[in-house]
Amino acid sequence: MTAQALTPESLALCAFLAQPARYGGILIRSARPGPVRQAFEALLRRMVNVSDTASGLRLARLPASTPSETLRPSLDVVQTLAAREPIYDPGWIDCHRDCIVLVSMAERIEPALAQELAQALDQRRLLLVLLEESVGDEPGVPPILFDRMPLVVVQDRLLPPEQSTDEWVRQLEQVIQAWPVSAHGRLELSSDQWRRLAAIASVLDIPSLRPLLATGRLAIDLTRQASPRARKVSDERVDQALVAGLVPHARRWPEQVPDQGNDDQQPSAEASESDDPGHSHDQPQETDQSQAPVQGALEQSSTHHQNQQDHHDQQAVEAALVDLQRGLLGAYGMGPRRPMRSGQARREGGRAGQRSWHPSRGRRLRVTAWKRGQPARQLAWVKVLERALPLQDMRRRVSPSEDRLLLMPSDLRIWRRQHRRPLTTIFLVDASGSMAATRLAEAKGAVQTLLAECYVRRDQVALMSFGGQGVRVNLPPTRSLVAAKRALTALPGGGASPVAAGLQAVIRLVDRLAQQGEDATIVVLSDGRANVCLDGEVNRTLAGQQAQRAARALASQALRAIWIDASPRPEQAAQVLAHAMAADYYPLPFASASQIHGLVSSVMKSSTGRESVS
Amino acid sequence: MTRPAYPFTALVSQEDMQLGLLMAAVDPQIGGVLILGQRGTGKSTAVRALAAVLPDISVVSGCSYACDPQASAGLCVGGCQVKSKTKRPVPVVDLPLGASEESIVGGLSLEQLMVSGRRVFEPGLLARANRGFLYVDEINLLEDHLVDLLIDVAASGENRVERDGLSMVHPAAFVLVGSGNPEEGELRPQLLDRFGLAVEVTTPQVLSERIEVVRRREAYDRDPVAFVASYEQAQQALTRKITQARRQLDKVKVPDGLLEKAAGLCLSLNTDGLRGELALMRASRAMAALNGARQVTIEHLKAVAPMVLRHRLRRDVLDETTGNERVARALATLMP
Repeated sequence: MTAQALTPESLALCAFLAQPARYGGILIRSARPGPVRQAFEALLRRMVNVSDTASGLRLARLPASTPSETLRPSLDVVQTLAAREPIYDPGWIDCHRDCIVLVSMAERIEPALAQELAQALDQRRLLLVLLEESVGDEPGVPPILFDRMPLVVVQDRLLPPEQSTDEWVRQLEQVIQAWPVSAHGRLELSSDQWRRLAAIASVLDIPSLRPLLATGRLAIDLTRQASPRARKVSDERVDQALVAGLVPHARRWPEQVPDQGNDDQQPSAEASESDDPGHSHDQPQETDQSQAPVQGALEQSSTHHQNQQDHHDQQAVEAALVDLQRGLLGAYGMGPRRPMRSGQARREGGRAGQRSWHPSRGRRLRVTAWKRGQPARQLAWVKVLERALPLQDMRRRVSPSEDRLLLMPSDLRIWRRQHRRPLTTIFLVDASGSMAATRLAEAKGAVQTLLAECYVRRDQVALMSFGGQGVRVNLPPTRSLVAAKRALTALPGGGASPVAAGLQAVIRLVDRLAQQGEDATIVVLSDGRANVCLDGEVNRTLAGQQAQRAARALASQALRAIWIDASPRPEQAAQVLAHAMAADYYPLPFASASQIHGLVSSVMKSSTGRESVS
Repeated sequence: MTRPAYPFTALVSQEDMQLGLLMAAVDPQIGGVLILGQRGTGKSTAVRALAAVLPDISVVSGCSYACDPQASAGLCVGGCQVKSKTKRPVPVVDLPLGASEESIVGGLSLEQLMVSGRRVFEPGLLARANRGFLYVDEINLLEDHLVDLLIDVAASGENRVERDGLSMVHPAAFVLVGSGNPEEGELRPQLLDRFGLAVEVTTPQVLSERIEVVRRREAYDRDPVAFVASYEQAQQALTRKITQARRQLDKVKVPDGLLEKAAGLCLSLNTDGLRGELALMRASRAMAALNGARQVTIEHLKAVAPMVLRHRLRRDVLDETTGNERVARALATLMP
């Protein structure tokens, strides 16, 4: 059978395409434009055409930047003015009932639009195919949608590298055509299988129950597909179903991760372990270690429910943990890498998405002429009447049969609104040398105090550090105190001082925020003595030059910046860099959390001009 | 092809949230309910399921504000002269994140203005929510000035419109229900204590309960109608219980000793203002009424104290203990 060659991700895709309504949606991550995505979109179009007669499905594209109010019914101003009777626009969702809605660049969906789509999905008014194009630690689709995506696959894993796209598509089509689409009532997961799934979800720290539901469903479908006469769901299919159903939602991975790139997004209990993770995972000693936090959590809960059920639970969780550590899922070419990114990057809630130009947000400011395409709800009717009423006599002479108010599009006026751009305060902390531990602790305290204050103004805080292990994002931009506390529990320090790399990481973050229409303030806590170059070489002179270059690049962004020098004596290197960065320089020997916080908030208050007008 | 909503009584191990919503349904005076918890724990499901268990309200036919025919006339600007009445389900209105101020408070009716040239007020979401519930999912992401507006109206029970040359008041007495995931953004502290109750929802810790949730959901998805039908009895029983509790509410007595205990509890927790005590009393009374008790007992007080007080505590940023733990500790020392 050729079908056996399909990856679990491709099988999940087939399951969706064969019975879209059974799942409701699918998210394809890293869906960069290319032959695979093209082939998939073409396939989707063909599938919809084929099923056109049977299920009445259509395909519709929704731009991710669509304002959410267009999804709801509203009065069509232009038509109403022309027809002289109320004409309603039923709203995008109602026009596209039971469509498969394809959204590319899904990571750009605003929270308001995400909420509308999520609700439509809950009510089964549409089916959703999201193509997420973000890479690395960029924010993905809004959490409200991510949680509701029953199937999540990564585009790169859809087909094995040796397979050609054409061949893959042919195979998909065959499988989909042969997919058993009869009643699914007969097949059920056994209690043990459910318990195992639930245990895996608990080990992976997935609080939501939606992924669990989807995984069970997929396991049933995969079993039927493999052997239509099967009486029970096979364990092998359950494992396959995990790949697209449960694992993408993981927020914690029980194994030690040998990959540097994950450090910044892995704040949980494992971070406290310091030994080298590169070795085999079969060593019993290591298993014991990473098992400890999970067991601890279980023991806590079992004090409340001392019964046999709990004992079963514990066994199931332990078994799941061992399974995951033995690389059970690795057999399907799936490591902890992807899930960590997906779970954690999403944690901070994506973006506030508050754009300064948004026409329906913020406070009313003044009135300007209406342009075609602007939302009718925002019209300033009093101003419209003020313009139109004096012209009535004249207009009536032109069309004497009319006895109603004669409005012309040129009369229309619309509200402009004022909207504050969200501000992110980025802390860059020098985690090198002997002072690292205290400096980080104080920065951590300052971050939390600032956050406690920030949510009054809806601002965000981020914390990055540089040291022996390079640059880490200890806390991605967040406005959540809960998330900050979780992320900041363990902050290791010590080692070399790659100042330039740290500043460059800040520049990247600032760029990303600017793309989202957000401003940033930078707080650097360092003595400025760079000793490691960008390529990792130890060379003081070159490292210093690189740091200066990075500082100047940051200065060109014209941001508010503060350089806090916490060394016992003011350090010249720090002053030079602060100057290059156009930052205010504050020598603060033995700076404390409250001192830092006081300084930062006073500087933030003094910066003005953050109100923007749309 | 709209599916019947998931039955309220089929929710598994979300007692706190269910209780909070029911208490607010019994006594809307308690103030709003704030539901905090992670995704996929049934927050929206519970709120959307609520309408089905609440007893229908009787309204003046055709009134856009759902006026009570028994109420003294005069409040309604819709001109409820017609005294014929109809029954209708309690409104549970969704407020989308993208809603503009106009669509919430109401404004000039575009339709009337363009077609007939008359200036007519068009009621907004607040009017639709009158005598019911207004639900804001992801309230922590809603714009601040909109949250302020909602809380203002919810507290006063009427919506005052001063815009577009309109000047009017209409009744808007609703229970504000907000939900959100604190990990995705904090709610301003000055708003927190404007909610009467705050409940925390978590995923069931026991695996078998998790599995039960998934099983029921699967059964519901497979055949919503049959699933809802199988809970019909439980739903009706709950509706009767709510009706009974509402009738009993005013007759439930609060002993003086208990008032003292409530005040002592608030004092020891150092909550700001008197809102805490008031809400504590109201909630305990609603709890007693739901249980069919004639008198509020210490058990009722203990049961509701965490959800009434946990969000009113002064926050110490660097303190790791949760509000629930602090309330529990204070309860244990005061009332062993």
